[in-house]
Amino acid sequence: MPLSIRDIASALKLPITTVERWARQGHIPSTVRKNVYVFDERIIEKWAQKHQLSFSPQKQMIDESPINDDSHSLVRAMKEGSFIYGITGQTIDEILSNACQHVPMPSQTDQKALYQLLLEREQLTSTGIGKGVAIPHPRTPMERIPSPLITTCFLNTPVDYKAIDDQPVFVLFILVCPKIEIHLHHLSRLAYCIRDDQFINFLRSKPDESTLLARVKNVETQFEKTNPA
Amino acid sequence: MSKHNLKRQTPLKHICAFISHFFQQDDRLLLITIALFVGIFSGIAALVLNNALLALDHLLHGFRIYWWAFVIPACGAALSSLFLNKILKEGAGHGVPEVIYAVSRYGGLLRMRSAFSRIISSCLTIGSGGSAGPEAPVVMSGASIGSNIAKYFGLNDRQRVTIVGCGSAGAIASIFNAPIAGIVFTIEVILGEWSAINIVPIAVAAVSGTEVSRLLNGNQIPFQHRQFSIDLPDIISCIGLALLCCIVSIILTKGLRSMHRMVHHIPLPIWFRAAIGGCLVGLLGMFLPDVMGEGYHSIRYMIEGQYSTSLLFIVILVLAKILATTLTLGWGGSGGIFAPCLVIGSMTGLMYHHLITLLCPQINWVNAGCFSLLGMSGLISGMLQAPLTGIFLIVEITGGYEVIVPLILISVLSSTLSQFIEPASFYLKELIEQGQLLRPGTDKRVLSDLTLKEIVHENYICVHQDMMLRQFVEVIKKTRYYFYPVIDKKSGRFEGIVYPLEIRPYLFSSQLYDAVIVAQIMKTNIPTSTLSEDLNVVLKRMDRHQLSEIPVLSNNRLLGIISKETLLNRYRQELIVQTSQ
Repeated sequence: MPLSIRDIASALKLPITTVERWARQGHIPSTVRKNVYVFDERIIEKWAQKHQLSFSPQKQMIDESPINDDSHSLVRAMKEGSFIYGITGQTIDEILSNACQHVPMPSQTDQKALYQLLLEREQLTSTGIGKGVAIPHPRTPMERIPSPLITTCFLNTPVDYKAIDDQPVFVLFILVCPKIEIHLHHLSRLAYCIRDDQFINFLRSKPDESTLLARVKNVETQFEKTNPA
Repeated sequence: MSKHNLKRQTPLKHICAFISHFFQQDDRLLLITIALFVGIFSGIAALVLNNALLALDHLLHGFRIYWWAFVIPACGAALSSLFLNKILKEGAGHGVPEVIYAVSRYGGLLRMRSAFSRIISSCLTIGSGGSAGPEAPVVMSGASIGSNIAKYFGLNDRQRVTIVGCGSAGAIASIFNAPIAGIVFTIEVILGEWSAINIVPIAVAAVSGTEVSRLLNGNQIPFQHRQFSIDLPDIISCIGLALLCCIVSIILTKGLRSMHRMVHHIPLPIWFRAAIGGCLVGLLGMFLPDVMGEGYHSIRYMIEGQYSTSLLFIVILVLAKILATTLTLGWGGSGGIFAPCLVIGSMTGLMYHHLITLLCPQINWVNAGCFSLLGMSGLISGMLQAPLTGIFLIVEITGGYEVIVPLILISVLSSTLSQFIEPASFYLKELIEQGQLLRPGTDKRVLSDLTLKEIVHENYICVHQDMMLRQFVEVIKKTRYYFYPVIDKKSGRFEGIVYPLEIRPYLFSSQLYDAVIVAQIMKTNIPTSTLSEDLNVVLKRMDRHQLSEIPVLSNNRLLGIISKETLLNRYRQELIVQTSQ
C-alpha cells in the first residue's frame, strides 16, 4: 500500500522535514508520483529494520498526549462509559452479559467480544476487590476503542461475585482501555476512590450521574494532590 | 476505442509498476545503464575539446613566426573571458572545485550550460597559447552532462552524485585513454567516498568513455617510452625527487593563489585582465616556446630522453612554466592545472636527473626519461594530494608498469610531504576555508544536513514570571522536567528559564513559598538561537556556555528547545542512515 510522507514521518516518529530531506537525498527508498513522494510500506519496513529505526505505521493518537492530563481523568472515562442502574442477574455470567449490552462499544460484535474477555478474566480470579465493588476488565487492552471507558453498573440485587472479602457485589465498574498504561492509570485511581469507606456508603445510595461525577471529581483532585505524576 | 486502449494499457501499467518497484528497491541497474550513456557523452565532449585544440594549434601555427605573435594568447584569453563571463555569465575557475562544491552542497546539481561553456573558453585560452590544461574543463563538462541526464530521469541526490562522478570519470578516461585513472580520480578527488554502489557505475562510465576515445581516436598511449632498467639507487633517489616535487607543487599552489588574489584587486575589466595575462604569456613564449599551450609535446621529448639541455636552463624553464601558468589562470584565462602539472612535473624530474648526475657521476643512473615520468607523478600527487591518481594516471598514460615501485614511493611521499606543509590540496583549499567541503559520512556533513527545524522539540511546560514559588513547586510536583521556560503572561515574550536543580535551597524552605516569585529565581541572559541558524554554530554556542539545551526564539517568542539529548538521538539516526549502504 503506498504511504504518504506524513504517514512515514509519523510511523518513524520523525519530523516531516527529515523524511522529505532523506527522500530528496536518496537515503530512504521512495518514488515520485505527480511531484509527490510515495513510499511502499513493505520496503520502508525492511529499510527501517536495517537502519535500526522503529517503524509502526498505525496511527497512535493516544500516544501523543501525556497520560496525566485532563483527557485521561476518571470523570471523563466515566462519562464516556455511561451509567446503568438496575442490572439484573443471579450469577456473574448473567450480570456481565446484561451489563455488556450497555457498554458503548463501536459495534455489537465488540460488545460480545468484551463479554467473552471479561468472562475469561473472571475465570482467572475474581475482580471483586472488596466492600461490594467489582472492577471487571479484559486481560489485554482493546485497541479498537478510541478512548478509555468506565461503565458504572448498579445491580438490582447484590450478587455473590467471589470477591476477596466474600461480600456480595452491588456495583460494577467495567474498565476498558486501549492501552495498558491508561488501564493502570485508571485502575489506581478507582482503587483510591474505593479505599474510602465514606465513598462506598455514598455508592450504596445509588447516586445519580451528576452527583456521582461531582464526588469522583473531588476524590480525584485529592488523589492528584497526594500523588503528583 | 477507449476500452481497447484500457486493455492495452493495463499490462503496460503493470510492467511500469514492476520496474518502478524494482528500481525503488535496487537502483544499481538503472545507474549502470545511465552511467554507460553518460560515459559515452562525456567521452565525446573530451574528444571534441582535444581535437578542437589540435585544429586551433594547426591554424595558428603559421602566425607564430611573426613579431606580434605574443598578441595571439592575449586575444584568446580575452575572448575566453568575455565568452565565459559576459555571454554565459558563468564565474571563472577551472572546473574541478566547482564540481566538488556542487557534489558536496547541492547533490551534484550543475547547470546545462556548464556542459559546453568550459570546453569553448578553455579551447580559446589553450589553443591560442595560454598555459593551462584541458582536463578540468572536460571534467566539468562531463559532470554537467551527468548531472543533467540524472535530472531528466528524476534521480535523487545520492544517485545524481554518482552520475556526476560517472561524467567526470568518462571525461578523464577518454582524454587520457586511461580508464583506471578516470575511476580513481573521481573517487579520490571528486566524490571522496569509496563505496560499492558508486564504483560499479563509475567504472562502467570510465570504460565507455575510454572506448569512445579508442574508437574515434585510436588506441594511443599519450606518452610512449623506452624500457627502463631501474636499480636500487634510483629507487632511493626518489626520496629526493619527492621532496623536490613537493617544493615545486607548493610554489605552484602559492603562486596561483597569490596571483589570483593580486589580480583580483586590479581595477580593470575582467576580459582586459585576461588579455594582459595572455600578452605576458605570449612574450614569455617568444623566448621559451615550451611554456606555451598544454605542453604535451615537450613531455614526449623529455620521456623519450631527447631533451638535452643544461641544468640552469631547465631550472629557468620550470620557473617560467610556473609563471606562465599563474599568468594564464591567475589573470582570468580558462583551463585546468592538470596538464601544466604534468609538464612542470616532467621538467622537475629532468632537473633532478641533472642534479644527481652532477652530484654522483659515478653511479649509473637510469635515463632522464624515467625521472621525468616519476616527476609527473610526484607533482600531480603533491598538487592534488591524491596519491592513487598520481600512480595510476602515470602508469596508464605512459604504459610503463615497470616503474610502478618508484612511482608508488614518489606519489605517496610527495602527497604526504605537501599535505604536511599545506593541509588542503589546491582543489579543496578554498572550499575548506569556506566550510563548504562536506564529504559523505563526516561529522560536518551530518551537522550541515540536520537543521534546527528538524530537532527542535516542545517537550516542556512554560511558567509565568509572576507565579508564586508555591505554585511553581506544585508544577514541579506534577511534572518531571529539569527546566521550565518562563513566558510573559501578557506579551508572550520569552523571559528566561528556571532550573529546579539550581534553586533547590528555595524549594525546600516552605517559608519562602509565598515570598518569592518565579521572576526572582529564573535565569535570564540565556543564549538563544533562531531556526535559520546553522546547527554547527548553535552547538558551538551551547558548548561555550556549557548548556545542554538552548531556547529557539522567533521575534522574542519561544518556538521550542534544542536539547543535546534529542540531538544525540537524531545525530545517531542520521549517521546510520547516511553511512549504511
